[in-house]
Amino acid sequence: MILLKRSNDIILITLLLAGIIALFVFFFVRNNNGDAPYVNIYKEDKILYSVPLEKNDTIEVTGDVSKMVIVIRNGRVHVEYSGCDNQICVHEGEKSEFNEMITCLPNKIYIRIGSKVDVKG
Amino acid sequence: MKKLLILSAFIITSLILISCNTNMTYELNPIYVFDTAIGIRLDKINDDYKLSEEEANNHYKVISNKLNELSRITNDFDTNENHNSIYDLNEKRELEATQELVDIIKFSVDLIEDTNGYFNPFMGKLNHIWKDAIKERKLPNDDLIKEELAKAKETTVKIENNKVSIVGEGNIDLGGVVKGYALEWMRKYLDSNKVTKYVIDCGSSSVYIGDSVATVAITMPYNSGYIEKLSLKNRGVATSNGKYQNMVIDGKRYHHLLNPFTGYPSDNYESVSVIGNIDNGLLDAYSTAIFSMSKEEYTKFCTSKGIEVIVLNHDDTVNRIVY
Repeated sequence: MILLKRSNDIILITLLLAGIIALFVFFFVRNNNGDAPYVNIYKEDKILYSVPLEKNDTIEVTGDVSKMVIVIRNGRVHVEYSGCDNQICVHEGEKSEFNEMITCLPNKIYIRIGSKVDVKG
Repeated sequence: MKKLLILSAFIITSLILISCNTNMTYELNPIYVFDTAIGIRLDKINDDYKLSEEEANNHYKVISNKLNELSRITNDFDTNENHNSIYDLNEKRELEATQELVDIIKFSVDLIEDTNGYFNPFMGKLNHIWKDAIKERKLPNDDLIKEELAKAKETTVKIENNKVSIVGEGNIDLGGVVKGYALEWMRKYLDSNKVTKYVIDCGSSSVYIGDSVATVAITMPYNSGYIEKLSLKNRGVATSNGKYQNMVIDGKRYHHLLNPFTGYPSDNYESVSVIGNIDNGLLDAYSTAIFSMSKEEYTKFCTSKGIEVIVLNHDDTVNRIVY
């Protein structure tokens, strides 16, 4: 009986610790709101993609003046290629923090690290 | 005991599932104005107020309309359908302006004295000369700079009701203050609608964090990496540097942030970020003004204004005035 009671206590403590860790992740390891970071890619005001920042991916989009290649790797996102004249978007380099963004104005492509957005249609 | 175990397991599993699946914010669509894209993120839970998706969408429409209106009237490159932009004022030298434009002009002119002359909204012609020079990768003529600088220094405005007249030969340019001004409008608008937790960024040069902690990353202007990552709440951050408009000729960098006393690009620093809980229009202008100040000057200035500053020097060292 005593042994059974002890194993129940261990299970209870383990579950409570798991809960505390989950809350820690919720409040501190993700962004301050508890949302997981996503790479949200817009063409003008239309959301094209909303993909997890943690997932390696290469995404090609078509802007007003050229195609763009957007790479997500190891928790960072950058513009690998754009055919725009000023190349500002390419020179922005890698972004990894919530709220960071890369804009290509000639292509009207806007990339922002934020919460998940529903992509409709 | 068994019931207690089951209950605990249920609570903890629920917490884990909630933390994985629930978005706590609305990401609004970008708004393209002021030669940049404005990003807005609103929290769903604001103190005692829960923001619905419909309300968030309505706020987006109001904000978008306002920003587009501000963009139309402060544009110094082109007219608009009502012919009442800064471009029109500069061309005709007087204008029956909207109240909004009158307010922004007054706000900008007051900044001349506020910053001891380090912010000057009458540098419009010189700003255009340098922007063209950067596009063509060719230095402008020194005599032309001298001539236009003299005109800018002698220019002022006369405002009678809504009639604005430019006195002198300089042109008005509100580019150094309009993003911050717009950001301040958005802050007041959201606060008045009980939305207090949000992040708004105007192309990363002007950012405001509402009543919940968020990270603002200040990036190196010409290399990859960060100058600093700030964890902020109820604070604005305005950054000035030549990142998006610059050229290098004979090893020297020229950019669009002009020293209003010389007419040439300021050469003191690589990047200036000011942080504070004051009007965001002021923060925007102050970051521009500080770019031309000496270290001694900006130290005194920031202390008197109660603002913090992070300055990246040419040798990659960082000076900070923080509280």
